[in-house]
Amino acid sequence: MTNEVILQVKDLKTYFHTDEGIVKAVDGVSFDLHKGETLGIVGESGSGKSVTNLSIINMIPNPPGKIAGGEVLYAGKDLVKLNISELRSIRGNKISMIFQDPMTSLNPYLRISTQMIETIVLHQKLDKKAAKAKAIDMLKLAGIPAPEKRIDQYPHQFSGGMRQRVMIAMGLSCNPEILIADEPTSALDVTIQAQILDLMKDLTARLGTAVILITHSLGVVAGMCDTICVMYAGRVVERGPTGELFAQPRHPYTQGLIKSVPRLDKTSGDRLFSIRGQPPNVIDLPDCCPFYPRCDKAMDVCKRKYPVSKDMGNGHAVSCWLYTEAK
Amino acid sequence: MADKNILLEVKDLKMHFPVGRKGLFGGEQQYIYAVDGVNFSIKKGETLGLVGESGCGKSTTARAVAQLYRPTGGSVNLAGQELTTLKANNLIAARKNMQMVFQDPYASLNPRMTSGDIIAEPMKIYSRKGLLSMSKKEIDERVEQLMERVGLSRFFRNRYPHEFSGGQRQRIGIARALALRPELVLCDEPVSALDVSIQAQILNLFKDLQDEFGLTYLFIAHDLAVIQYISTRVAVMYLGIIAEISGSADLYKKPLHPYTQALLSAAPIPDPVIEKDRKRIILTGDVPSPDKHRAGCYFYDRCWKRMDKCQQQRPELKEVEPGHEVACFLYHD
Amino acid sequence: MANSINKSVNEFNQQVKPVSLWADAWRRLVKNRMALVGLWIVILFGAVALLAPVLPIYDYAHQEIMFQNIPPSLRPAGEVAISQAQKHLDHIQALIKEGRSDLQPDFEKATTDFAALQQMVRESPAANNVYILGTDYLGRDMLARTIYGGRISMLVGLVGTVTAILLGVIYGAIAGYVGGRIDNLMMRFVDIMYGLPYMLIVIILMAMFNREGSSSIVIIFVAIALVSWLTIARVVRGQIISLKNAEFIEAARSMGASATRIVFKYLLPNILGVIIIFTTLAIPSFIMAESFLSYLGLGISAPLASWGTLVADGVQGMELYPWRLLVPALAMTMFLFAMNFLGDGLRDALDPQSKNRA
Repeated sequence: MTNEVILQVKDLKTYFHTDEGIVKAVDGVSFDLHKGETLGIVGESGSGKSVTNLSIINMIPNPPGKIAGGEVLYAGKDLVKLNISELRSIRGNKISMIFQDPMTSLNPYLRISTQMIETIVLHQKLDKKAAKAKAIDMLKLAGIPAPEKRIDQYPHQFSGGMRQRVMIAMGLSCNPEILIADEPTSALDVTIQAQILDLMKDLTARLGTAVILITHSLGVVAGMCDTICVMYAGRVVERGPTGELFAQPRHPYTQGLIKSVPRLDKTSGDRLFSIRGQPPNVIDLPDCCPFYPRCDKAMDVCKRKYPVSKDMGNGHAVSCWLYTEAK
Repeated sequence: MADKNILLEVKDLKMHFPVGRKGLFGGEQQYIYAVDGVNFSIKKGETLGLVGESGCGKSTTARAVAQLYRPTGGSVNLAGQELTTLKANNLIAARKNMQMVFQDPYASLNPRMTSGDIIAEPMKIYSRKGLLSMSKKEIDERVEQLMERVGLSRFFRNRYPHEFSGGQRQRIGIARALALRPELVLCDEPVSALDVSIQAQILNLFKDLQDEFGLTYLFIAHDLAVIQYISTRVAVMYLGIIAEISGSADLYKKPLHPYTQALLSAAPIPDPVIEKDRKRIILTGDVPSPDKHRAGCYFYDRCWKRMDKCQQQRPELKEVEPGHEVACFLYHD
Repeated sequence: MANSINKSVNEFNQQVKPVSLWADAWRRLVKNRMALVGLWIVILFGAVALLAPVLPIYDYAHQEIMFQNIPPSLRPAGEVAISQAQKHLDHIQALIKEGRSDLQPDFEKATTDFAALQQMVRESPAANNVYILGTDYLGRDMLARTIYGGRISMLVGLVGTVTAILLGVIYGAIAGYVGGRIDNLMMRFVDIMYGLPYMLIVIILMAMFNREGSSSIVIIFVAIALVSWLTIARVVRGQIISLKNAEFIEAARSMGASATRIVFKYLLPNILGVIIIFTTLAIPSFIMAESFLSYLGLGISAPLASWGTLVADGVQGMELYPWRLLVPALAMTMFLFAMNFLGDGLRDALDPQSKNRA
């Protein structure tokens, strides 16, 4: 991982206009991605992590969703402002995405070869034969046995783990700069998950791809990521290098989260630490710290205003009134 | 053998599902051997954790114990009563002592019934059958009591499931399971669909309820850390059989079966320092499907310590250390 | 969590009013303009049909031969009749002037008739009636006939639908829940019934049991309901099969719930939406079926009328007396459109996808 920043998300806001009110799914998210870095975005349901990723490549269903503010700077351009054909040349090519459920993201009616060749031909200007050879190479790299034969099969002829390997091969086939992986292993068994994560780590290191990995599992980010963003109710509450975040979590939510995960290597004693209450409804959320009803250290100011982000040094930033002076 | 302390005893449990039809010209009937000879027992007040990956048969085992599927073979003995041979009416009476909590908080509650009705439902059904004598007032009081006990305000009893969050719905499911005061509660992945912060709350609730009411749990999950936290003893399942059973702490410190070792090494630990240095055992191939009856050990294809013997004979589950059973020829013949 | 009592607002000042599934569906229905218009029209028609006996309209069966085929008008019938006759006289006169002297005897006759008409109008009390929608070939008030015809048509639609639903839902629920061989047998029976030529059967039944007046209604009900329960049976069976394996059903079974309890308390309430939608779309199709039969002459018999019979009568005098066809046809069309829009709106509003998943 170098120090060169290739993606800058600045104060991104994505709102959904529904019958029941405005859902501020992403409400001011900022982070930087460096070349070759693996960035993890951790959050529970409703935190806005998936919407953040879709916003980066501007794939929010509109209506009812809309990017309401902020910038996504890549290669000198603001992705939020690009038109559809410029976006298309980037998607799949420079920034590629893989999803959680490979069965629904692969077209069940098309052969794998058709789907892979389509992407390669579109972006790399190779002819079909060369594209197919490249696709077979990628499948081999992804650990699929007998790729020359299997490339002509249909998705349902692959198992869950195999399909995810195909997705990864497809995602990396154009050698993108950034790979966005949205919960790539959540639907897989533990032993398969280990295989897939291993594969991702290996391939992205070899190809020098930067990865944005979205997951709800702290164990996965601990093993895979260089940097972590913790999201809650549409905001990044804490962000920093993995080692530091786990060793010294600052935000009460991060602290609570780490403490409440049962660990294999330790006996948690009689009671597991748990954060009381439940994640908020993000419809028409007022301007306050969304975590305050569940926070043991909540202060009066937390109810009134969302905290300003404070840089704690070493790339570690936290948004909490415990660390910033309230004015 | 009649240990008064044992609440549930399962012997050689088999669940074979027929698939398709016999070939027109006398081909053999195909089966899915979802559960293929499972043995375990649970003592009163204990929690047996059942862990394994998809297709291992853990959910099927729970349902076979609950007699929701009638077992193809073997015996299920609850508090001294054999369940597999019971007829419908007697089975319902026996079920009073054995209730189930389901996995999906969205799908396990009737969307058209209020939470109060859902919790009252088992009591109403059993009252109708004459197996329980509670007046309407008593049922209502018990519903409110249960709701408070699981952490739901009793004022929500007229609300519908869609008005609750995932964790709250799971609490409704737990309250429903406790309505008849069962001794045994079968929990089928009850926290798998919940967020991490809610999961911790619900796991604590399970433990508290167990302490307060002296409950016995058969707890199924695929997350090893969760199983370790909640269980007294753990059984690891693979393709319809139990590969290893042991006390919870023991299993994690000293996994014997190669599959258990692979499973433990694959499970992520939320600590980057540990993760960095971990040497993972990466299993080759996919989790196979239980549609072939194998002569030898079911783990043979993926095992890196396999021997010739393993392909010819199936190892039995045998105790090799006090309280620690394993089905592997590496440790016994 | 249990942060209390029936607060209507939570810690974030967000509204947390309890909302039942029906209230939510209603809200969505109301937002759909076409469906709302449909609903109002249906309510209007329904109200008029129910209140018909007390409405200030003429008797639908009363014949005033003198005032047959009066066009719709706000003027009293006598005036209209006279002005019609006058127009006729003038027309003949104009023709004679153009050179058709052979029409002279007709002119004489018409003049005599005209004088007689004037006399009758002076003497008849009915001359002051105002027939807003005109009269038919027997001098019966079109407005009253259309309203009473609507009563019959809507009744046919309603009763036919209710019968179809009762039969179909129970049949489909049993087939779907029990499954296996019984399901197979039951559905093969349905398949056979589907294969039978429905029209032919109804026609034969109607011809066999041709009776007078009110019993003809019963026969129509029977005939139509006999074939119509098939669709709803299939639909209900499909829904039950897909719900049968849901976890909440498993939960109910694990609590010892009997099959009847599961079907009536767990399964049917959850497919109520489908049944309601079927109802709103079945009523129009029954009305159409009945009017088709009436057109063939196999429908309701006189003196009762339905929109179908009215249309059949109206067709015969279509060119000269268009209102006799247009009035019942428009009334029926409006009602059918309204029911269809309402049905579409209900289908969108009752879509189970949206609210059940929080």
